Amino acid sequence: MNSYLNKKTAIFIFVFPFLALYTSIMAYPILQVFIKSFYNWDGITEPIFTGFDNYKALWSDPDFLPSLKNGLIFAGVILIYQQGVATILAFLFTMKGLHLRGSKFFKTSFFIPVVLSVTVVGQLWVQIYNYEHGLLNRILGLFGENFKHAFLSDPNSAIYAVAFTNGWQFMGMMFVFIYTAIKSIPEQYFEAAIIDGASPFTLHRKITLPLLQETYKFTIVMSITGGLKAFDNMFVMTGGGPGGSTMTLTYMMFKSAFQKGEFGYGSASAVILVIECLLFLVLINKFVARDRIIY
Amino acid sequence: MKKVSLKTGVLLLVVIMLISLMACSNNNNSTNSGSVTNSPENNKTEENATNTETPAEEVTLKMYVHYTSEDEKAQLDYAMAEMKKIMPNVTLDIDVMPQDSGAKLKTYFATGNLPDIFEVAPSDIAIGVNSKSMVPLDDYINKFNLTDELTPAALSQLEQQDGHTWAMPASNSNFALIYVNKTLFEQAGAKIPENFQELIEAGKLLKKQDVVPLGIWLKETWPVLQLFDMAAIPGNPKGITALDMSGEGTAADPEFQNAAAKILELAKEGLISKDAFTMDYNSAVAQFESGKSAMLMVGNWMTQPLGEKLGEGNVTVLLPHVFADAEDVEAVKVAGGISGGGFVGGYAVAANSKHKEIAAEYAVQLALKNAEGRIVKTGEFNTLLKKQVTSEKPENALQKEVSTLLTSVQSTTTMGWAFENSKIQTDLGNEVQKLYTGDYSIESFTKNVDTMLEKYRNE
Repeated sequence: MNSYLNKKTAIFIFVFPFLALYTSIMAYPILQVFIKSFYNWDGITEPIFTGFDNYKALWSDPDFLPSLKNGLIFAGVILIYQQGVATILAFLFTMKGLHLRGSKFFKTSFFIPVVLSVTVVGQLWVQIYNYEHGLLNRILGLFGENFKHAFLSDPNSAIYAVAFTNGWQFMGMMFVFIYTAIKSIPEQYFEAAIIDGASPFTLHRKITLPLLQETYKFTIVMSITGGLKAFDNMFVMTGGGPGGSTMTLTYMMFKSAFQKGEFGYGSASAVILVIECLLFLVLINKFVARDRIIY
Repeated sequence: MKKVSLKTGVLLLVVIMLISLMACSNNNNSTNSGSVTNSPENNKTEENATNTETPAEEVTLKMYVHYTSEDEKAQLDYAMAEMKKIMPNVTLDIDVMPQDSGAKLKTYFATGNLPDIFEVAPSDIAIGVNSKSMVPLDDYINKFNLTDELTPAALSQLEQQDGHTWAMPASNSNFALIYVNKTLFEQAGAKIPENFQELIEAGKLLKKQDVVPLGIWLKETWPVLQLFDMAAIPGNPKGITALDMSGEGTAADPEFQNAAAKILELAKEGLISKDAFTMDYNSAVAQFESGKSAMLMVGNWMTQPLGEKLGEGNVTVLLPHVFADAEDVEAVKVAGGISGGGFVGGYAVAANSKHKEIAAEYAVQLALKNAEGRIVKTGEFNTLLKKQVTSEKPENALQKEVSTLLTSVQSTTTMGWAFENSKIQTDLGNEVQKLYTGDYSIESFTKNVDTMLEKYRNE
């Protein structure tokens, strides 16, 4: 009995400081955002309760649906690029019998962009995308003037260009997660499969990918939520333009709160963003890694 | 024994973590109380300070102001040096203001942690007054008879909210001009345009020479609005001020429909750089100075440096008449409208300042010295001060040309950062920026802008 009570006490003592910290720094501000979304508040004077007016105004805001769409495009692009490229590279670097020269150098260099600041990466890619003297357009110009493109000035392509920048920067992190997960799969599974005559393709399809489901669940959540709440890349590279074509819900929130002084309205944008992220979390939990695989 | 020492160790660890948490909180409190308003030095001087103009002890005032570019530093350093002669015991501790559309200042308003003196834009005055964060400066202006030093145009800037002056003007009026590199025009065989049709034709010829016809940076809101203002002035000398809070215009008015159409045409004809949406102020100026763009829309403060950089006779300026149709040009020139003007704003004093009196006396005088510094150090045109002020930099041909042009000005509008209402400024800037893509319908622009104006004007 004593040891049972001691265990509960010990758990409480361990958990309480961090719970208190989390509540005060994370949970309370999130609750305040939700509450303030029902108020008209400039951040300075007393807030005035307005009910659902902020949400109604958000729905009729001409930038709301494009911002939602941009967030989804951003999340989609980085999901495909990060998961796809990271998986291919991880499979390549864990392939049995394949000895790549300089593999350590490559593995390190994949991670270097992750440690750079978003400002540095953003400015770098602004120069790469530059229509007049950028590296990309210089290469495209070799095929003819018509192949050059103003990636960041074309409203149709700007969001994809900005999303690719983010995908490029954080692909290294996904590579590390997937590479480590592959390395942690016991060798005997592969050996048994090889003995049974499995081809490399079958090996990956039947053993590697199923056992990576939990890892993919985590990395997909990171990619999607990172994409939905994207802000810093567009802030640095395009300022939300051209013409709002790279504006996301987070950018709308920033603009409303800090440029227009409409904190209530900005809070409403934030609530919609949280609901969107939670929805995707539920979907990912439902459809990815449903069954725990044990061999 | 092992279990006991393990439990003891764990409990000790938890206690240490809890103490650290409390210590962090205490450190933050003591850091906050160590800020300028509560520093030991200021507390000591507070005991000794009386209501005298020049305090007996040294006083350090914290000032939140733009202090990044060489020009900003030069003019404020000049002003501080001049103030040392008047109030020698007062020192300024500069808190550098970033280019963040006033976001950090709003945070200061919200936390009640304003510096003693701070720079405000027109839309910040309402926030400061409504939150009772600012000190009215009327008495301090009258105390030093500063109104006798101001031009009539500058006097009108003292009439601010509720009939009081809340911020002392610290800069001369700014105007937007289109600077033209005459050499590039000659090389392209293009005529310096006198109307909009000629502007488009010149742009086409310049493009053939791989030169960007019109340099502008569209990442910031103010240049977006400024060029639109220049396009609107031929139809209405009030320009974008008609779309501000106290204006009566709407986007459906003919002058704004024409302005929108002209911006769209500039974009479609390729007169604006394809990289304009990612460029900032410095990039756009460097592009013009290096001869990669033939024209540049920027403020009159660049007259002296551009005239010097590009050489005598190589640069001229265009006014808003260049956006008029051929048959209307003469009438627009006679009307004498220019884009830009003086604006309400400047240096304000925090109501929670520990040295309110000293800060207010210092701020109202510093503001005028700063305006003087802008003339002396950067060659800016004097529109604020009655007295003659001579610049250190010799007047170049471009400055003489612009001075002559300014004598014909009959009406002004405002600068794109100086709207009365920051919400209108932000949303209008967002809508106008879409026009520069060349792929936005005037109907959508009109509908969105008018809906937005109705919403904010009826709030």
